[in-house]
Amino acid sequence: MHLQLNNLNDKELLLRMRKLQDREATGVLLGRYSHLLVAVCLPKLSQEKPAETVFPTLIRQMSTQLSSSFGKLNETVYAIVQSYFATGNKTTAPYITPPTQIIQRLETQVEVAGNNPIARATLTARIEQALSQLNKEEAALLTGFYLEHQTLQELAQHHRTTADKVRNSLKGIRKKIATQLKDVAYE
Amino acid sequence: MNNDSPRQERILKIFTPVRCINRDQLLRYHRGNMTAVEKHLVEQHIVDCDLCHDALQAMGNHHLHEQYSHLTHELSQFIHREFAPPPQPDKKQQQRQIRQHKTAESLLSYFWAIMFVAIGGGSVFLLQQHLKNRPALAALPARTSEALVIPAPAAPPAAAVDPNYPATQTNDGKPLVIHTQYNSSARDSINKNDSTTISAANIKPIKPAPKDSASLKKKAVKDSTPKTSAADTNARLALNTPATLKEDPKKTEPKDPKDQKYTAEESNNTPNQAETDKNINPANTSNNTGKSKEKEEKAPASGDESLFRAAMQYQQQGDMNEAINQFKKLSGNEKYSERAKYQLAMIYKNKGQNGKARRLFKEIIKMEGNMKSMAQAQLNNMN
Repeated sequence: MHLQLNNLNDKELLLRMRKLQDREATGVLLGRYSHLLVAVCLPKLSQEKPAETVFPTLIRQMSTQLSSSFGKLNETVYAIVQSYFATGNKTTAPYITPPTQIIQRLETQVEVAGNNPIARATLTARIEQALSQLNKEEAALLTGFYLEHQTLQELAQHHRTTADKVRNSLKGIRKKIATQLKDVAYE
Repeated sequence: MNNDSPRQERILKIFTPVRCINRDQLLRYHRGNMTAVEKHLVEQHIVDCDLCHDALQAMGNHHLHEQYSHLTHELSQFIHREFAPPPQPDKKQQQRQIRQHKTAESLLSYFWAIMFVAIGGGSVFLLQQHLKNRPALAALPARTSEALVIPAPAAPPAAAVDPNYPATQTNDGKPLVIHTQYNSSARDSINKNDSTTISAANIKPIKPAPKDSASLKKKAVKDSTPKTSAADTNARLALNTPATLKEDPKKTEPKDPKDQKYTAEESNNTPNQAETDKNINPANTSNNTGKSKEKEEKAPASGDESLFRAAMQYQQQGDMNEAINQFKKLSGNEKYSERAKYQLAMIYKNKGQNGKARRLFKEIIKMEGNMKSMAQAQLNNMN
């Protein structure tokens, strides 16, 4: 059963968690993000918050909150970790910013388009139209990363900045395009 | 539209979702053990995923790699323990449950089988009881005429005589004639020719055709009421030959008890026949007392006589409608008018048509014939 659950994607496992109250599915889903949880929490561990208490608490919080969460799972996990280390043991519901939801919707549209050439062409045309409204620096950064397959380090060296800044810039450009596409859709 | 252009495909990559990096990729990224494509995919994901970005940044510190491996292993074991599937019940317990379920099912099936047999047996018993105790009158028709469904005999009336009838013949070769209750007067007119008579004891009653049990039952009920002697001439007539017999009262007298015995035996089977026999006996007794020594004269068998016999035959067989028709034909005849009317009145009386019966009895009384007294008695009885 455990092996079969490993073959399911996150959405299917969440569905089993919510509808069937499947604890095994919850375990498989949390296991997928456990290494990321450890990696994120590792620098933040201290004597006040040792690994023996932090990880079981976070795991229990995640198991209770994942069933009622929406959006991407990795964002939810990140939000739980951030809130845990920011506020202590208090469990608060993670807040997902609206632009993230817009990007998620666009990603879903690309997924749904799949191999349908008409849908893909339509989406491409819309994104091209949004790209045309970007300034030169943003367009160059986006073209260098996504179309020319340059790494973050290469782009950072080219623009004489750090990789984190390049990443943040790319993240901002994505949000900008998604917002433009959303506004176009509402018009 | 150029779908295959690399630019178009690459533009869609901006919003193509990529899965989070696994624990192996997390370490290999910093070690530089990745292909360019894999590295680009990881970076493409990092742009969007804060969790993976922070994890990669944390793993940039190589001192944490060992601790990371240790904690990751322990955490996965903890999750495995915490979210393990619930323990399944033992095989023995499962088998026990199955056994209990099976026994419960078998008991239930036995119960329903017993119930089915009990209900079936009970229903059969109730049906039998119902058939035994069914009220007799409920099945009887309201009137005798309704029960008369016997078809008219195919053979001519003269041929309807019972073949079992022992047609005793005299030495002359002529069949015997039965004594009647009005031997004293009517016989004189009928049996003008010399003939030997036979006693009623020698006559086997003609078995009537099988009737409906309903009509028989009704007749039996009617016969149970006290009656005066009825004038049933059927038994008194010769069967199908014109020859008549002289009656010897001495011979008839000792045979009367036999006849009575016979009628007693037969009365159970045929109430109609019992009626005829009843009617014969008083006639015979009166005959014996009144004109025992008179010799009967021989009478030729005419068409009217055979018609009368046929009518009587119909009456005996229960075909009342046909008998009524025959008697009505004879009622115009001078010779048989009185007797035909009397029989007609008796039939009406038996059928419950008392008005017609009374009218006919009154006509007979007015005729001042031999049957006046009997008609008067019947009329009185009806009133």
